[in-house]
Amino acid sequence: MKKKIFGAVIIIAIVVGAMINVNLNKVSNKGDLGLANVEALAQSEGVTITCGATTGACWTQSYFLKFCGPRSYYQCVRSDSPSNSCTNPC
Amino acid sequence: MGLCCNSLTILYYVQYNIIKQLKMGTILKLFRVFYLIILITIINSCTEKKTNSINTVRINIDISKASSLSGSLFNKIEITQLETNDSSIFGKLNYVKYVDDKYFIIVDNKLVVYIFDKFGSFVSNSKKCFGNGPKEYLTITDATYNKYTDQFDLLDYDKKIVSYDKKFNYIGKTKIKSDKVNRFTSFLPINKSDYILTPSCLGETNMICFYDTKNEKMNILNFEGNISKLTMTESPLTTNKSGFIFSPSAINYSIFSIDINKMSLKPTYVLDVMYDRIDEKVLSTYKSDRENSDFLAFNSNYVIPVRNLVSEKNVMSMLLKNKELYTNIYCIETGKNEIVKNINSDFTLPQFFAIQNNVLYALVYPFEVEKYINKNNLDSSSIKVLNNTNDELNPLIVKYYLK
Repeated sequence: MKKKIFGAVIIIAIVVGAMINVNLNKVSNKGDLGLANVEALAQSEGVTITCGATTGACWTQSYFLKFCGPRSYYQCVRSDSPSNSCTNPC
Repeated sequence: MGLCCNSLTILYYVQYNIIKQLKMGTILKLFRVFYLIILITIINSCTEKKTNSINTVRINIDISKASSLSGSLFNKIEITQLETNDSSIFGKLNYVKYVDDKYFIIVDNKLVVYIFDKFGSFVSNSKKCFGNGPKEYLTITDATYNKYTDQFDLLDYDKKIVSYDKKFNYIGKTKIKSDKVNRFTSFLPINKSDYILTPSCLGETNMICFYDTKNEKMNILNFEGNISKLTMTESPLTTNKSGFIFSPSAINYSIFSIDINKMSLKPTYVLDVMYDRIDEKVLSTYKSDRENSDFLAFNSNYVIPVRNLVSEKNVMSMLLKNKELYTNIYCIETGKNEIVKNINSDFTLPQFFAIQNNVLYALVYPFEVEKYINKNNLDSSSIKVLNNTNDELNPLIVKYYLK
């Protein structure tokens, strides 16, 4: 009986210790963008918009800063929204 | 952590004395074993944390001590002409990377991929693969050489990895299955079937993803320290002889090393710009990521790291302050630091795209030579290359050898 209790206590201790350890090294797995997929052809108010392959419709400003001589601008990045439009000035 | 251990010890003595007074012999023994195991587990965790903190190197950067740019920063400059023919000539550059000391991968503004070997000789291009067909790609956000499979992998906007051989013959497509991340911006193969990916800047950027293509399993790892989405980092995921490096595509004062077995990140280098560090209270007044980014890019006096490159010998950081760029070179072996302003009256530092050992790589168009190359640093063979180049040819790969 004593042995059984002793074993149970060791298991509980290991579990409690492991739980504390996991908490200390916690890595969050959150992350939900919640954006909808679109195809290359997107429907917007009955009008078919063809997304540009490299810039134009469906593209928007990114946060990537580019320099073009004395000018600076944000590079275009592909977005999921057909209402966006972006062209790189350089 | 220390507080946690101390609290546990106090709790132990209080409870131990209560049980002792109640004369419960067996429970007392069990009680001792219970606490001993918990303490060992916690001490073990303490030790691991301590080792991590020791390995983080703080790079102290005082931008007020930035010296004027001079040729003395480099031992020499070498120039390689990228081969120019009907197949290899490319349009406006979108981005360039140097992979595994083997290939220059160039993606132009039409999203065609051009491959050159380390000597500048043309290998192939992806023109025939561009389209809507099942073996083609339309919009890519990244391209790389996969040394584990000896293929070229392209990261399709539509969450696919498209693989081609060296002649851009189609090999296969892999769909990236992930409910939590909608789009990816960059990727890096870590073995034959696994990749690390970073999400698009339009979503959450404080995470990296490990994807196992065999089991279609994704692990998401969050990290801390992103202050703004503003960046000039083209390749956040790189490798060197020390391992896998992650420099976030965002303003973050840390550069991380990636443990691919544990799927964890550890800040290996922390850039300490002292009194020039962003006051996060100021940033909190901006309502959107765009306002925050505009402020840092165009109106702030803070020093922000916009691009980092790490080799086993040096850490190069490009810093932005008051719309001006600075470059800091940190020598890992000696711990010495040198910071220069990117522009002086004679020449300008280009935006380096890669580092290998003590060599920084830049891509310079022939018409930009006078601006970016100090001819005093050139050897006779590079001068010959320079004399033979012209505006009709592809750009030059310029290697800056650090002292």
